[in-house]
Amino acid sequence: MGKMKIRLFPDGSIQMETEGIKGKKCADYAKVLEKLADAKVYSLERTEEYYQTELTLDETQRLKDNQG
Amino acid sequence: MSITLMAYPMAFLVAPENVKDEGINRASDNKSSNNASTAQNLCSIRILTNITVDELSRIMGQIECQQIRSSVFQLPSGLKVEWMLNGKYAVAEVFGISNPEKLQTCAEEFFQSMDGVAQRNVRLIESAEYFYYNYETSYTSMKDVYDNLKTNGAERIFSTSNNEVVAHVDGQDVKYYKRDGEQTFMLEVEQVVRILNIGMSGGYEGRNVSYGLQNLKIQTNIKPEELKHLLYEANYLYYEAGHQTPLKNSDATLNWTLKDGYYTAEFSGSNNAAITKEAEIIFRKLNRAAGRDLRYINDVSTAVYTYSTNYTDKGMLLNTLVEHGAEELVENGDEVSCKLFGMEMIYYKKDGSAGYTLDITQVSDKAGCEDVINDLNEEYGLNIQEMTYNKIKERLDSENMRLESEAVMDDNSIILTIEV
Repeated sequence: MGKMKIRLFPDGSIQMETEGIKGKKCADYAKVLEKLADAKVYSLERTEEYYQTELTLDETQRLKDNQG
Repeated sequence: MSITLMAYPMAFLVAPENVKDEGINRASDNKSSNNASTAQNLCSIRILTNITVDELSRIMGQIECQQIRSSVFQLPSGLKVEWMLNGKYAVAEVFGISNPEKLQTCAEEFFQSMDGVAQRNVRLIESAEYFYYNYETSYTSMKDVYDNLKTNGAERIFSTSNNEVVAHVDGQDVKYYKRDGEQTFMLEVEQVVRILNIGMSGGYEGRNVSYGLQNLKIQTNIKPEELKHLLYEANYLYYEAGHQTPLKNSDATLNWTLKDGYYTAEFSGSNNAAITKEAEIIFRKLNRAAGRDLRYINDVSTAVYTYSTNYTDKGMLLNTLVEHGAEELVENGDEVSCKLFGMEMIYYKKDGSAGYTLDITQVSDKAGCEDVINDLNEEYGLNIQEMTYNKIKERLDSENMRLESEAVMDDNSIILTIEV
């Protein structure tokens, strides 16, 4: 399960970090924030986790088979 | 972490972090330097410029003067100017006139001519002008200098390896030094004239928005029959067709409008430093020509200062003004007017802009005005923080999200951790 950490600064600006959300889905959360806070995103950094693919159930099983 | 982003609520015009608080730097009334300059022992003034070495010959070639030595020129007024280099820029030292007031007047006229040729304020260095007034003294020993400084309550008195003494007196930096071959010390007083620069400077987040002084209106007590004559005496022109006076700095314009029998001077332009500097210069000259301060009507300063703000939300603006103690709050469509600490403020949106513009009049204390503007900005930001916090919490359910925790940090920021 992923998380959004939203930090509201006293000058009114907003910072958000996502955790545990792999792949391009996490960029969807930028839109979620805009909707939640009536805000506009002006800067976005993608970290390593963004470029990882979330494994599907089949892939997870294949990984276990290979290791086994 | 997978992404990190920054956002700003739509109650702001642009992101708050891109709006820098420049703070008000008052244009000095030059009172202290004027007092010093009336002293009979003012012998020269050194002035920093933004003129490069390459430009200097060309500019001086277009000024009516006579070259009397390789770097010294004499003007028809009797003023002498010696040019020196400070890095890649030229420094002027003006001297040759014994009357201190006349020395300053002639120097001002000289630099006005230079501005005209260079098409800019040649004394402007990062929003300030730097003058160093040099006086003769009768002090021959460092001990005398120290005793005098201490008597005058000087702070941070230091001596340098060049046998100079530097100190801070009455808000000014001073230096005592000896010229080659001289027995007595000279006194150099630094005078920094900061260009009035009220408002916020902002970034350009995809919109053509800038912050700062856009427009300066000054009501005067100039009657219709006086204007042309006063402008002529002050060496300015008046174009009847557009009711305009051309200014030396092309980044500022001046229009005259007649209201209730007196003229209002309206300065505008994109460069707020140019606006305030030109206003200061022309009124200094006009006042001298008229023998009175032309900017006052019934002893009340009638300048109107116009600023851009980062506010877009009228409700939030009203809350902020009320919380700050504004009185006589009146709404008229998108316009909000009020009185705050004796100042009259009108917020309005102009030319289809999403952000508010602010007009302030009855500004008796410019430093206080800066504090009020900064306080309002802070309070607006805090109100936006609270509004955003409430909105997020109210809307989580509709997005099938759950608030896991919330915490308030030392910097008063609030962290909401949300399960998705």
